[in-house]
Amino acid sequence: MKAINTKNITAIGVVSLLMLSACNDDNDDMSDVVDTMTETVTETMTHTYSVTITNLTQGQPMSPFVLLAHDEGMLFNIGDSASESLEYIAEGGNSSMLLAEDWVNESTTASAMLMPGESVTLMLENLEMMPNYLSVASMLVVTNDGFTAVNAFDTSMLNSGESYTLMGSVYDAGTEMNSEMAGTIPGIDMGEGFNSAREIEGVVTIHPGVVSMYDGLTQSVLTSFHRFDNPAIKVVINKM
Amino acid sequence: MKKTLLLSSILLSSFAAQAAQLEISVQNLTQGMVFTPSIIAAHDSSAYIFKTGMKASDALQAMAEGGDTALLNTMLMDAGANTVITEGMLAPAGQYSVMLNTDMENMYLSLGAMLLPTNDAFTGLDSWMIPTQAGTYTIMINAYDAGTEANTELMLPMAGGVPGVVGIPGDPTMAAGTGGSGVADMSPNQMVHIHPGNIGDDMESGGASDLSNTVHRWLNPVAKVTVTVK
Repeated sequence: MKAINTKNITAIGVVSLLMLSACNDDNDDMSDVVDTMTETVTETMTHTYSVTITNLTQGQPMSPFVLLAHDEGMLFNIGDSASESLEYIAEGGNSSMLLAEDWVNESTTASAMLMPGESVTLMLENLEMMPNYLSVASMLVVTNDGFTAVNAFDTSMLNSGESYTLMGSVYDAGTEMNSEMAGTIPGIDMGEGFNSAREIEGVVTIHPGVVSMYDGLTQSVLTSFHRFDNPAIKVVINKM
Repeated sequence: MKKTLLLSSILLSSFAAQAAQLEISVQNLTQGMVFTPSIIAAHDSSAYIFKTGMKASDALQAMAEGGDTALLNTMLMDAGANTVITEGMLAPAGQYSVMLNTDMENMYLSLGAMLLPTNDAFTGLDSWMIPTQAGTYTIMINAYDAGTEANTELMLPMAGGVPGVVGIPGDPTMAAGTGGSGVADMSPNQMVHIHPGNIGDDMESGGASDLSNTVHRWLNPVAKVTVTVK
C-alpha cells in the first residue's frame, strides 16, 4: 500500500520535460504544453479500474461476470440469507436485478460466459467519484445455487498504477437444495434457473462442492468434470 | 537526552512483546458441519495445539475425536498460556465472539474445535503471531485430519468420542443415516494433515457411509477468524 505511485511520477516527469523544452521554443509549442498539462490534470481527477478474472475450475462455465462500483452495501454476508438479486445470479446467472439495485453506482457486464481456463477483463473507466468498493459476481452454471464473487473490495487499498490480486471461493446462496437433479441446473441439459417452487430458507456459506453421479449421488446429472475446489477464480484489480 | 529516551521507548513499543486485549470471533463457513466448543489460547513459542506433519498429542486426539478440550486446556495452562473455551456447539454459518487478555510473553494465538459429524476432523489456527499494532485482522482457516482414527464415516453415538474408539460420536445436524459398511479402515497419513473431506452417500441406511453426501461435505476454508487487537 506504500508502493510509489509510478504513473503519476511519470506524468509529472513528462510535463516538466515538455516545459523545459518549451522554454527554448516558440509560443505555439508552449500552448501545446498547456494542453498536455490540462489533460494530465483531468486524467488524475477521474478513476479507471480494470478487473481481470480467470476461471480456475476444471469444468464449470461461469455466467457473464458483472463488475460493480458502490459506496455502500455488500453482495452478501455469510450467515445471512441471500438477497433476491443475488439469488437470481446464483440460481440462473441473471444479473439484471443486481445491476438495478439502488446502491450500485456504476456497473459493467461481460459479453459472454467465462469458460474454464479463460480470462476476461472488465473496465470501469473515468469514474468522476472514486467508489468505496468494487464487487464482481458470477454463477457457476453447473450447480444449483453456487456462485463466486469478490464482495466489496475496499478501493482505498489501491493507488493509481497499483494492482491487487485476490483468489475467490465458491459460495452457496442457500436458496435451493444442492440436489444436482435434472432440470434444476441451468448449465446442463437446458435446466431451469430460478424457480420459487424450489426455494429453501438457507443462508450464504462456503459451497460444500458438488458430489456428482460418480461419487455416490445417484440422482445427480453432474459428472467428475463439474467438481471444483477453492479457489475458483483469480482476480487482478488494477487502478489505472 | 530527551530524544534518546523517546527513541528507546519507540523501539520498545515496536519490537518488544506486550500484553494485549483481544476480541476473537469465529464464524463457521460451512453449509452442514457443526463445530464443538473451541479452545482458544495465547501462548509462547514453545506451546501449541497442533502442528501439521507431526503426530497428534493425546490432548489433540481427545479434541479431534470427541470434542473434549480439557486435556488441551491443562497442557496449555501448564505452559503458561492464556486460554478461553467457548460454550455450546457452533452451527453452520454461526458465529461467536470472546475476549482474551494475554500476558506479555504469550505472543502467539492458536485455536481448535472438532467438526461434527466426522471421525477426527478439526479446524484450527496454529501459532498466529499476535500483531502489536491495534486493528482488526482476518484469518481464513482450514479443516485438518488428526490422523488418529480411520475415516470410517460410521456413527457410534457417544462412545465414538472416546480416543481410540472408532466411530463418530454425534451428528447435531440429524442428517446422518445408519448401517453403513465403512469407507475406510485405516488412516494412511498418521500425522496431522489437511482433511480430505467427508464422502458420504445418498442412502439413509446401508451404503458405505452413514453420512449424507449432500449435507456433510465441505470445502476449505471452513472458518473465518477475526481478531481485534485493542
